[in-house]
Order: sequence, then structure tokens, then C-alpha cells
Amino acid sequence: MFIDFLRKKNNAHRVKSSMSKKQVKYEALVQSFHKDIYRYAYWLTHDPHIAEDIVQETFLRAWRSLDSLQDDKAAKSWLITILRRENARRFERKQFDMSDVETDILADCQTLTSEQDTEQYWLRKQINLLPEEYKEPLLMQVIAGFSGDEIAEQLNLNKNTVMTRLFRARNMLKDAIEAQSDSARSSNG
Amino acid sequence: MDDLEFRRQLYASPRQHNSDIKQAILRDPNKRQFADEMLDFEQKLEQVYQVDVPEDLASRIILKQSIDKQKQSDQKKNRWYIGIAASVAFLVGLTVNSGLNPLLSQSTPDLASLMIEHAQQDMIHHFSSPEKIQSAQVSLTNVNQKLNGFGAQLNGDFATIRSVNFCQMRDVRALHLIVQGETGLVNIFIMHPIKSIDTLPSIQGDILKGQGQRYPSADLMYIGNKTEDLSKIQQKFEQELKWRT
Repeated sequence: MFIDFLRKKNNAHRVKSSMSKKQVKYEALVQSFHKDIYRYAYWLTHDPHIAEDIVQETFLRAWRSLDSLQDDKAAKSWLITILRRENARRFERKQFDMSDVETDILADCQTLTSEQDTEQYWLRKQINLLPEEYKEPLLMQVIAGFSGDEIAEQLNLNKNTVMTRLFRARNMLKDAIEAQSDSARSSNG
Repeated sequence: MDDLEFRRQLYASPRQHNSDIKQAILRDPNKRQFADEMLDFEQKLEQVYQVDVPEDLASRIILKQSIDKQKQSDQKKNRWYIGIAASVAFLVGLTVNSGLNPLLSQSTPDLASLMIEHAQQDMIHHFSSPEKIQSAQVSLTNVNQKLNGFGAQLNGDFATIRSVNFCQMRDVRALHLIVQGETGLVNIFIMHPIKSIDTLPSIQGDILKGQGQRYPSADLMYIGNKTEDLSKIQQKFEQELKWRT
């Protein structure tokens, strides 16, 4: 029994050294991806506080199952998978107290001042007005830098569908910009 | 590839081009110009998506994880002690059973993890940003009102006190002070003497550490960053602390 105990103690030392490697890996993961993951969460939730809560929960879950991440290159899509699951959980929990608040009001969480910022604010509003099914593929492409194939895998969609949605999303944004500059021109003339 | 398909593909993927698109761009200056325009638009879009990230988010994520890790390792240690104690008891027999009671007691590690949990929760909830830490300050009078119940008074300032709250850790009620240390925040727990444990826990975590001091009328615990000189703050605090006799 005491030999068992000593053996266990040795194992504990080995576990400890692999634990610190795990810690280094985890901290590198946090440093490399927390910004992208936060931005992704922000665009999903439109609320900096909820975004931060989900990001915290995502990284905590990532820590607990870090051993399942074999390929470091897959880290970002792995984190986004966890994040999307966390966000879905939030909806399951809050199924009955969701309100239909206009998203363009929610988009105003960040304070913007200069003229360029006004343009950014306007574009941000247009992004929020996109149909739901176009928003996330665009988010994955712009923030996470995912390819069409990766987005298709994440969203469980056919690649052609993803490419069509990306095309339509940008097309709608471009149209909105043109319509705005047209109306600006006509009001000036 | 016709012009419409070309445009369609660039709208769908302005940054990553397949070989057909690349060749089309090289062959046709108009297509090249269109590709450049799409890239400009993409950059604008990327800027819009780059919302501000809270400055110390990474360190808060790591803090939360280290607390989680500490909790898990405390639970493991707990099981480990109980396992060993059970084995020893089995070997030595029932005669020394009473002598093993302190080993079987769970209250020491439990109290430590509860304290760490409280320290973490208070620090995260009250001080979510460096500005909030800097602006929080509690007056000596306020602290003394709460210390009264423990039969103690602080005579003077020993550090900037950031918050003072009562908290309940299972059967232990404590006054929880968060004060400014040299390298971060330090948690001080003031409790009525805990009769169920022989010694106050000593905490050696990857990020946090803790030590205790027993007085006849109260138990004190100090928890802070690993880099903090806890004995220094302990000495300053206890120098100012006067017990009513």
C-alpha cells in the first residue's frame, strides 16, 4: 500500500511538470486569440458585458478540455466552436426573456466621435441590418479569417451556400453605401 | 470566366483568390482595378469589425482559469489526504483512530478554497478594470464599524482599503477586506476563532498564496499575489489593529 502511495507520488510529480507545460500552452492560446474571440462574441451578442462573460466561459471550457486540442493550427476554429456553443446555451437559458430590441440601437455600445467614426458607425448599423443567416458567415470570414470550406464546416452548410451568402452580404452592404451616397448627392444638388 | 461570375467570386472572397481569379486579374486591368476596389472595401469592413477589446481581458481570463485550477487541485488534494488517512487507519488498526481525526478533517483545505473563491469573486466583481480599482476606497470609520463585531479597531491607515464586506464561507463568517498591496490586491479575512481546525491553512498556488495568524479573539488570513510580501502587509495591519479587552 505504501509502495502504491510512493508510486502515486512520483506520478504526481510527472503530472505537475506536464501541468506547467499545459499552463504555458493555455496562456499562449489566451494571448493569441482572446481579441478575435472577444470581437466575435461582441458581434454575436452586441453587448460588451455578455460578450466578456461568454469569452470567459469559452476559455474556461477550453482550459478544462485543452488535452483534446491536438493540432495547434485548429485552435481558432476549436475556440469558435466552443464560443458558439456557449452562445447557444445562453439562448436556451434565456428562451423566455428575450426582447425584440432593434439591433441598430444595440450597435451603439461603443462611443465614436470623428467623421470617419461616423462612417464606421453607419456601416456597423448596416451590418446589423443584414439577414441573420448572412451575418455569421461574414463574421467568420472577416474576424476569424476562415476560408469558405472552414465556414461551411462550422455552420454545417454546403460550401456553395456559404459563398452565395457571403456574396449577398457584401452586395447588400455595397448597395446600401451607393444608395446613401446617391441620396447625399441629390440632397446637395 | 465571365465578368459576372468574376465579380460574384470577388464579393464572396475578396482576400483569398483561386487560380482562375488570379489569372483573370493578371490578364485584365479592369478586373485588377475591380479587385483592388474590393480589397479597399474589405479593409474598411475589417476596421468596422475591429471593436475595442477590454485592455486587461487576457489577464482576467488567466486569473479565472488559475482559480479554477487551484480549486480542482485542492479538491484532488483533499481526496488524496482522505485516501492516505484511510489507508493508514486500516494498517494501524482501530486503536489510534482518535489520533487520526485531524487528518480526516476536511475543514482546512475547504476553508482555503472557499477563501480563494471569495477573494476571486470579490476582485472580479468589484474591480473589473484598473480604473475601478484605483477609484475604490473605503474610509477607516466604515471599516471600524464592521470590525466592532470582532472586538477590534484599526487605529490608523496601514494601506489603502479598497473594499470591506462580510462574507459567509460555510459555517465561518468573515469580514473580508481588500487592500492595496505592493504588487496587487491583498485579501484580509477576519474571523471569530475557528474551533474546528487546529491550524489555519497555508496556501501555495501558482498565482495566489496565503498565510494565517491566530489571535485569542480572532483568526486572520491574508491572501495575495504570489509576488506580494504578505508578511509586510500583515505586520502593518496587525500593528494598527487593537483588540478590546
